Formats: sequence, structure tokens, C-alpha cells
Amino acid sequence: METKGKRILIVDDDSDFIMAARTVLAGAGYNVAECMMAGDALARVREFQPDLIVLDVMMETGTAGFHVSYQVRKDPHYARTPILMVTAIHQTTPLRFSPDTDGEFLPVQRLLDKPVPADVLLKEVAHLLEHPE
Amino acid sequence: MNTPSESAPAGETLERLTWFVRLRWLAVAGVLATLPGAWFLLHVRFHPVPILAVTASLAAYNVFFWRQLRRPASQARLLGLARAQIVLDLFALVVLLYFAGGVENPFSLYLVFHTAIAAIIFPGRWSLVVTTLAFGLYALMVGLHHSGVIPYFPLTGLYTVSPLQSTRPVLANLFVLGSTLYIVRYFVASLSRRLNQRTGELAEANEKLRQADRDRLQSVIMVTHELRSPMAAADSLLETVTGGYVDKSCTDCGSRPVIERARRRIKGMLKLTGDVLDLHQMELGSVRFDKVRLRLDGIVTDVVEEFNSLASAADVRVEPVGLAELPDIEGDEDSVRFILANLVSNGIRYNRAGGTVTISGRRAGNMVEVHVADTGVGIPEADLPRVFDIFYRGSYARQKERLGAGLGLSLVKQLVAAHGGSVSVTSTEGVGSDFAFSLPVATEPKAA
Repeated sequence: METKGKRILIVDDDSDFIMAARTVLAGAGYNVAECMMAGDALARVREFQPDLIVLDVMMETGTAGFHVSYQVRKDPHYARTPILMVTAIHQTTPLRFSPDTDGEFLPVQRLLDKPVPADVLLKEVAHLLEHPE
Repeated sequence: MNTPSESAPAGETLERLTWFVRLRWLAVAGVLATLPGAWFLLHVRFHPVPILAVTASLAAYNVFFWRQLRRPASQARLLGLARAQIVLDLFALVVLLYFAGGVENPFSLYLVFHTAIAAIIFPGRWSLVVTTLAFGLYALMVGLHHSGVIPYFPLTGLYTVSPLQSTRPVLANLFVLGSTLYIVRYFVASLSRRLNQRTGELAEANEKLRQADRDRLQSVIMVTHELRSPMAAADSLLETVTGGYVDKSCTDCGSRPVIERARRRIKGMLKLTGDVLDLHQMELGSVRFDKVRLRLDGIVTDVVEEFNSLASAADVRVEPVGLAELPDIEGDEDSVRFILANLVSNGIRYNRAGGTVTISGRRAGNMVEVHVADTGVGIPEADLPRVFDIFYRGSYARQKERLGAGLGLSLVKQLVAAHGGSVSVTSTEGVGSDFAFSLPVATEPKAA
């Protein structure tokens, strides 16, 4: 399946992470857009129509990314858009979560700890675009 | 009855009752060992059947209590069980004495144990009741023996003349035993009461230490997290360079700006670790302050100048008001600069375009109170108590600034406290915040 030209939206309040992820993904031929505020994420999704969303957990609040994922899933147009969640808090706070154990509550396909190595990011993105379920 | 502070904690009561049951097995074994010893070695003659019957019932009710203790029970129930055991034991011993010579039997001294145990478990009035019951039952038995109202079972062979035959030894015996019981009860109860109180105090101190330890751990986790985010960002940025991703995609930026961004994050981490060290060293009291006489308005002028470009970029005016009239303060110059710089830079950063930061002061007794007020976003009321906590950052601050990990205000608080002053904040969301700190008025006369 051709993944080049697919649209990826990065939602993260850390402009450095956005820059790094964008560089890697755009270099691989993806069409990348960004959003730095969880509050704007849904509007940006509707505007950009991404094929995949890379979503940070901690933004305006410690769990802003979760709320974005619920909002996106509630909209029938994007209910099946794959979400790759990234977080730096996975190992350092009592909030343990993963799509395997919290599938009912956390509607994302994949959860990765920051920093995400570039090759892992590319591999995960390609995989999720090919197998969105 | 006992006030809660006087009695032992629930876990300890259970432990004591278990010990109590173990002691009773020893008592049963002791009686069974003493009987043949007295009979064959001392050639004392007594009626073994009633004595064995009492010993058997002692064992029987001990089994009952032992079973009771293995079930979960409330503190009130445990104390009820303890009372029942003490009273039953008293009766058992007095009945044993009754069938074995009464006043002639030297084991009457064992009433001291009941009194002591009651005083350990119930250091309050209840142990006094037990002591009186012990002495009362014993005196009643001796009196009824002496007056011939109840049958007497002598211990043949222990005394050549029974002390029961005259009144004086009986009275002396009663007096000594009675006073011993009351004195023992008094000593043990006061020791036990003090011990319980101390145990309570230690438990409280221990709980405080645990809480402090949890807080400390929480702050370690927070420092780690605050370091982890920029590390992850720097790592991701540098990987785009080392992995050769930059050249492929970004013809207009190249690797230099990426490396600069990574360095900025690393510098942020350096500052954070420096601040954490300062904060903890100040807490340990290992920071030496060079306190001298200072003019506040001079320092404020310097700080305002330092933030000139930041203020004009943010379109915020910084206005010192009436600081020249303030008395000199006593403080460490670097610390006072840090405090002011931190509050002024926050005032600029979290302001609106066209807003102001006002620095004013007034004398309040032996202190000078300085206010740094802004016209910015303000702080939600619920967050106000946490503003000076380590790593507190409001949602607006988080969104506006990734760097500056929220240690500034904690450091301000510590520095002000190290000068004997205090910090406070008032704020209205959408209107602005007013941070205040106090520093001592200089007491040393002005240098010539």
C-alpha cells in the first residue's frame, strides 16, 4: 500500500517534538500538519482530514491527549482514524495505561514512550496506515 | 473507664491478650507441676480433687478465649474479652486458695499478677476496680474462714501452727497483701499510661515522617519527569541530524537550528538541576547568605533594566512606585535580586499586551513588604495555595513556556524564608496577580 502523501496530524504542545517528528515524517514523504493546543485539535482534524494522528498525552492538562482521543472517536467521520499516542509520562507517574489493558477506555491504536526513535516512528506509522484496526 | 489516649492501640491490645492467653497456659502447667512437688517434696497435704477441677476449668476457658482471639474483633470487643478474663482469673485463684489453706497459702501473692495485668491493659479506673475486687474477694474468703462461716481446707504440713488460729497474723497478712496490690497497681498503671502516651506520640511522629518521605519521593518523580521531557525532545531533535533526516526533508533549515533547539533544551535542564540543587541545599541550611544593608530601589532599577527588552517585546510596562522612601533592608544582595527578577519576569511573561507590572513597597513593623503586581491572566483560586509548591505551573504557564520548570517561586519562597520573611499571593483570573514578600528592615547603623 502506498503510504506516501498520506496526511498525518501531530498534536503536541512541545514545538521541538513537533519539529523532530515532522522532519522525520515529512522526509519519508508524508504530508504533515501540526497542532500545539489540545483545545484546537478537533477543529484541526476536521480541517486537515488526517489519515493518522500522532497525539501527545500531557498538554494543557496532564491528560489533555486522552480528551482529544475521545473527542475524535466520538465524531463518526474520524472514529476509525488511527491514533498513535506518545508520552513522556509513561514511566514516571502513577498513570499507567496502554491500549492492551485500557482498550475500552483509551481509544488509541498504539502508545509509545518519548523519545520515539525515528525508525520506530516510521515503522509504527506505516503499520497503522496499512492496518488501521 | 479509660480515655482513648490512655489505652493501647488496637493491634497492641490483641497482642497483649494473646500473651495473656499464653501466660494462662503457663499458669495451668505451673499448678500441675506444683501439686506433686508440694505433695511429695514438701509433704504438704491438701484436697487435690477441687484444686484439679479449678485447674481444668482454667484450661477450659483459656481454650475459649484463645479461639475468640483468632476471630476478627473490634477494639471494644477485645477490651471486653480482657475484662472477662481478668475477673475469671481472679475468681479462679481465690477459689484455688479457698480449697488450699486460704490465708495459709503463700500463693495469695499471685494476686499481684492480676493487678499488674489489669493495670497494663487498663491503666485507668478499671484497674482500680480489679485491685479492689482482688483484695475484697481475698479478704472476704479469709474473713469467712476465720469466722468459721465457710468450711476450711487446711494445708497440712506447711505451718506448725495455722495463722488462722489468731487474728493478728491474719490482719498483718491482709494489710501487706492489700497494700502491695494497690502499690503495684499504681506503679504499673502510671508506667503503662506513660508508655501508651509515648507510643501514640511515636506513631504520630512516624506518620509525619512517612508523609514527608512520600512528599519527597513525589518531588523526585516530578524532577525526573521535568528532566525527561526535555531530554526526550533533545534526543528526538538530535536524531533527526544523526539519522540524516534533516537533509532529506528540510532544505531551508539544515541541521544548525535543530542542534540549537536541542541545546536550548539541554540548557533548560542545566538550569533546572542547578535550581533543584539550590533549593535542596537551602533546605539543608548549607547555603551561606552574606546579609548586608541594601537599598531596595537601586536593586529594582537594575532588575527593571535587565528585563527591558523582554518587557518591550511583550509590550508590558514595568513601573517601580515610591520605593525611594522605603527604609534600607538587610539581606543577601544576590538573593534579593533573584527574588525580584523572578517575580518581575513572571509578571511580564504572564501579562497581556499593553499590561503593566507595578513594583511597590511599604514598611510593616520591622519588615519591608514588597508587592509585584501584574495585569495578566491571573491564577485560578483553587491553584493559589499551590503556587509556591515545587513544580507548580498553572495551565497557562504550561502552555506559554516549556522551559522554566516551575521552580522559580519555590526558590523565591525559600530565599525569603531564609531572610526571616514570608511570601503571599492574591490573584483574580483575567485581572492579574499580586505577589508580595517581606524582608527585614536593616538594624545595623549606616556605614559612614
